[in-house]
Amino acid sequence: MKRDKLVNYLLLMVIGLFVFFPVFWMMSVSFRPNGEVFGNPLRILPATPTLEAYQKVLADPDILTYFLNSYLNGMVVTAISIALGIMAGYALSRYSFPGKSLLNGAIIATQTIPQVTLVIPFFILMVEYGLYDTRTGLVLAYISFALPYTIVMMVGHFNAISPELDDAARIDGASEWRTLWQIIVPVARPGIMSAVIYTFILAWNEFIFATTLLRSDELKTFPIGIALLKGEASFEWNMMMAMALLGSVPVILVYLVGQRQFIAGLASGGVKG
Amino acid sequence: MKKALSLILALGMSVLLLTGCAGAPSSSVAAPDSEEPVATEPVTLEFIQWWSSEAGSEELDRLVAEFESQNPNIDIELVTLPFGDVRTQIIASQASKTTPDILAMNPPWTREFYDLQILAPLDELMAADPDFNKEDYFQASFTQIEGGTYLMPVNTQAFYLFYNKTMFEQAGLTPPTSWEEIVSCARQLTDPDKNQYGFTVTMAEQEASNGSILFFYPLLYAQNGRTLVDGQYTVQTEEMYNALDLLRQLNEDGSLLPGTTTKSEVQMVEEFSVGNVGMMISNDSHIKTVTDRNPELDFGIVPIPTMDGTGTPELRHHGWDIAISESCEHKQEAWEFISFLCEKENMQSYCNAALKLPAAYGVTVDYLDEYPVVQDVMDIVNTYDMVEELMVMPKASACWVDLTKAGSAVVQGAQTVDDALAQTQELWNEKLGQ
Amino acid sequence: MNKQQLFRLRKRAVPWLLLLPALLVMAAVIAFPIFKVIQYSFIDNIFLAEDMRFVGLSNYVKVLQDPRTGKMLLFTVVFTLGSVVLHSALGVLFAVLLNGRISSRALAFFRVLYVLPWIFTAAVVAITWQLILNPQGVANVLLSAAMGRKVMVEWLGKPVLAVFSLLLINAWRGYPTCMVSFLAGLQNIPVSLYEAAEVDGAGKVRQFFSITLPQLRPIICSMAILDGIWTMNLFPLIWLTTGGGPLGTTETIATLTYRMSFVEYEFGRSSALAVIGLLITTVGIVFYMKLQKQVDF
Repeated sequence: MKRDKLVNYLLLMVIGLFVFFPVFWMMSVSFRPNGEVFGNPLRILPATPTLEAYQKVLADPDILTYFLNSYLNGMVVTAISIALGIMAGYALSRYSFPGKSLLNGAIIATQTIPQVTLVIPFFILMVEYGLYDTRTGLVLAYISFALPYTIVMMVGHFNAISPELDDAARIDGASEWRTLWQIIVPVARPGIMSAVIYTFILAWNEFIFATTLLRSDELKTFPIGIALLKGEASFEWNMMMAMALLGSVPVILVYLVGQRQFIAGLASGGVKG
Repeated sequence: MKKALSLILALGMSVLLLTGCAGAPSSSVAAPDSEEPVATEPVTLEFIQWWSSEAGSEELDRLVAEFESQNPNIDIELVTLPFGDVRTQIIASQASKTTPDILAMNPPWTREFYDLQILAPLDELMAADPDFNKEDYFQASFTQIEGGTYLMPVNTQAFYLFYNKTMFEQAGLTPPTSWEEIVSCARQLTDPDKNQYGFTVTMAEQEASNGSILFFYPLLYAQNGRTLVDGQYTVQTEEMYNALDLLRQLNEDGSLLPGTTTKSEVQMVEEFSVGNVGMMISNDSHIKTVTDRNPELDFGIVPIPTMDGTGTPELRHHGWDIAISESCEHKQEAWEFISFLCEKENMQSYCNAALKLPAAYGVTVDYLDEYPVVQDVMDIVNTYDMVEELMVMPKASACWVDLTKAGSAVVQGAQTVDDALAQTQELWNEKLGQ
Repeated sequence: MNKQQLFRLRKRAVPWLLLLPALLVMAAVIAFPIFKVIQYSFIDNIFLAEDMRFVGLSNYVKVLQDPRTGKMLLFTVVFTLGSVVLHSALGVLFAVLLNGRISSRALAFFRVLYVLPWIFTAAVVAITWQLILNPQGVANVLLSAAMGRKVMVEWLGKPVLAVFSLLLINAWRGYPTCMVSFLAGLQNIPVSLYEAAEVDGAGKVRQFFSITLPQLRPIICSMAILDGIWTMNLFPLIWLTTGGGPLGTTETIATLTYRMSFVEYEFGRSSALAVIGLLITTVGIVFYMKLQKQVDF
């Protein structure tokens, strides 16, 4: 037992060093003046560490706007995608009906076109809908990107839950709706959490459609804010890294809360097998 | 139960948020009146640019505010994007008929936008403006496309040879006055054990992939060469051959700082600022970067010499320009803003703030103390002629990427200069239908 | 209609009612652009309304005849397969390690650590790795120190090396998606199975191969297919690090379609290429559909 624990810790720590190194480099860059990002010789730790990048980022009110926009978009996109994904996943898991496998395929098929090719038609569509340069338009676009994954996740996790659970609930007189939300969903929490994490991060990181579908400064998102630091003549290396690191904090918080669902042995286990 | 309730609550809130946020698209997107615009009718003009994220953005804001107070019926809306995305966004917005009214232009985009019918000719607007005199400005931006003028210059940049004075002095060298000297200086300055190199060049293929226009084109014009010869665009001229051959020579000598095929333009400039590279070819907009990154660096600027040192080289012209989109409904008002921005006084104050050079004759800048190298640049700019072929070349972006790939092939030893140029010419012929 | 018929109708409607909202969003938002792209693939001069004309399959022919296409397909396959294998393997390994019986504080800490590559936007990941893999960058500095002599490897600048470097970057960037999905999947495995195996004397490694892997198989397969599709269409990371270079050795379908549309202004051809990509990935989708049929109740 103890040996297993030790091996576990050891592996996590050693591999963790490699996983963490690029993030360490981001931190190292964020604490140096831009003139030290390149060097001869290059130093692993800054020779003159400075907080100037962080100070500039925190002092910029626009950056706060971008941050709040991404956070808000993330929450809305996640809430709706999860709700829709749960419902669709339940239908695909528990029911068979004509055209089902075709539908399965079609949902995944929406991911097969490179998103860069969809940029111009999306633009045209949003203008048609009157949703260009609105939060709604961007949120809808993100939901359509996230749904295939959330549905696949939900189907997979619902499939792992024995239908005996549904039957037991129905015998007790619950409707399909109640069965889904009150019986099945709590048991599928881990799967739901992975979909929550995925959707939030998707909305958080997405750049191409945010740049295309938004024009007003008030709606701009975090990745756009970072890209604005890529000037024509020079980049603000340290500010980019500082901004990226600061911005990762709320995402990490969401993840921290979510990963609590991944506690071994907490799940439905008992009914299956 | 709780979980379902909270989910429904979240859903509900989301719906509320969304309906509340089904926002107002900017007024230029909505269908405007079709009557003749009256001078005092309120007008909103969208100005798409990357300048607000560069140095001098407060001055731009101030100029916009001043213009708006002088013209209370005109509202200028700045649409700011990162430089790397402005071109694609203009194209995408043209496809969805939401093109902004005023466009910040990188001269090499001009012909491509003209071919997509994005640009409006400025000649009539210029002629009808009593306070505007074309002769006051550097003429390169006024190069005509099919008899029309499409750009107005806001500032000017040109390409020069940057050299590390300290390294040159320590090696007992003077700035090169011929290409033989460039090669020999580079060779003498290279010492891999000390991590010192003679030259840094970019021929990378990511993003802009503009190594060819940063390196080959300036070398081409230094030889008074051209890509447009007898109505055809060609790379198989003696001068272009010499330019690629110079790269080949520098590479074979080992004088190039490693990473030619990976570094972006920005990284190349950063490498020069570090101080272990002898030379680079770049434009004066990077003087500020180099000085800010490494105030200790003693560097100088000379025009790229002609191949054998005789004759007069020409400079490759670049800069920030501005254009009006064809779909703009209020071209007169747009022109009023542009001519205001480019009034000598305003051009000067904006250039001072943005640390750029004015594109008008007889206009000086006030930052020569901080950046004394700029004095050399101003002298050069007033002495030598400037050339810009990309702004009238169809499919310029695609073509220069082909030439960058040729440079990359030469550096990697994958092709000889002749083969690389022959392949590039084939690609150009196919693209340009010649 | 009598009560029985009504009941049966209602029963049949239920799955469709549940599916409706998701399908509505997807139909309203993404269906149109996909059809548009398919439409564009048969047209020339999309921008200039007067000159726009239907050209049948000529765009497809031009794309297939393009000298870059062969190399691009080769790299796309190599990159996709390599990435999927790495993502799945690392994802499973890390998920198991992060599901171990260690203190919940340590668990939380390491779980956050291992998800970090996912949290940053592609531009930041690209820039960070470019800095690291710069010939004068920290990777070479560390390598030189380890080897005792100066090395200046051009990680992203030499053809074969660039492929390897991109695989490394994408492996780092992409494993967390799989890892989190697998972590969720691990929660569904009944602890009783492991307990029984322990009683039988099976070690951790055997338990992994005979219980964990088989139980995770459905999720591994689903993620492999999704990940394959995502990797094939991966754009920002590749565009911002190598741009498809050097000399087109890291060009994928996504970068080539972007190049064709926004650099060469051949929107018809780029759409044709995108449709070709769609047809190729349909193979993966067919597998997914078959898989779902197997697991159906």
